[in-house]
Amino acid sequence: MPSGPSTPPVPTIHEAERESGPSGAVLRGPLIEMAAAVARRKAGQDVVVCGSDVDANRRLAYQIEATVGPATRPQFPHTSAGPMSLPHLHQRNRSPDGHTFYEADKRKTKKKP
Amino acid sequence: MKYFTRERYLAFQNFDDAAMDAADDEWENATDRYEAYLQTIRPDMPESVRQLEDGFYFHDARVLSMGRRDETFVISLQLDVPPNELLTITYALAGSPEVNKEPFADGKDTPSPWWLYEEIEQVGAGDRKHFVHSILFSNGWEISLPFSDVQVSRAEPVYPLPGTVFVPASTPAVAPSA
Repeated sequence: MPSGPSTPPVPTIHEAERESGPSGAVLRGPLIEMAAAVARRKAGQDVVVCGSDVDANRRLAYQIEATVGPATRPQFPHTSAGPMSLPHLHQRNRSPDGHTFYEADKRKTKKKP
Repeated sequence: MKYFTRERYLAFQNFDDAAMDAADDEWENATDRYEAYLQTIRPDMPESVRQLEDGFYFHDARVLSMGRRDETFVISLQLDVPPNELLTITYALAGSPEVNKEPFADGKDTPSPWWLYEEIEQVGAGDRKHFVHSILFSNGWEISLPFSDVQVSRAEPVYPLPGTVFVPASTPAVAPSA
């Protein structure tokens, strides 16, 4: 039986926190739903969108951040940040604090211990 | 800026997937080229410059102040990553700083600028060798600082607290809610 078009992978949303120091790494916490992600962002905390489809990750990250308020364009890390740093968005006026990160092709989260 | 230019940064403004993918690829290419360049100058970097390049995650740091006195330029900022240290970067200037104040279109939405991206370049040779630190800020400003030496001092924040929002002078700063 011929296989149909594959279903695009669905990104997942997780609690997130930054690792201290210059690594820029993002630690991936428990899986959460959209409403919890928005609530977390409104509280100034970080979230991360994970998955293998960068476009889907980015769209969902923007959806989360734009629900909180006017969001920046995606901010892409550069070399000083290291390979563990992720692209992200945040509020234009930095209120509330925090970020919505998303995984990209070569940039992934670390699982929170 | 030669690698992390305002044009490449503004390319992320287009949320069309194909355009964003192209912008991402362009950015990663620039990152790879900058890293390759850094490898050529890293052996000649004094320890202080190496610390500036490798020791801190500057992206999204809140810029608290910038100023010049004679041959010294000082930037004070608060890092975005935990523990949100306060840094004071003091440059011994090797030439005149260049400040481009062309704002981004949405620069007015940022009550105080934050640090976006930076590059270090080695220029000159022999006794005339020095470095240039170029920085792009969230309001669109770019500065290039030629320097012969740099010092970075760090402190744990007592004020401002992480999450403090700085607003225009007509209203007081807002402390984060408890």
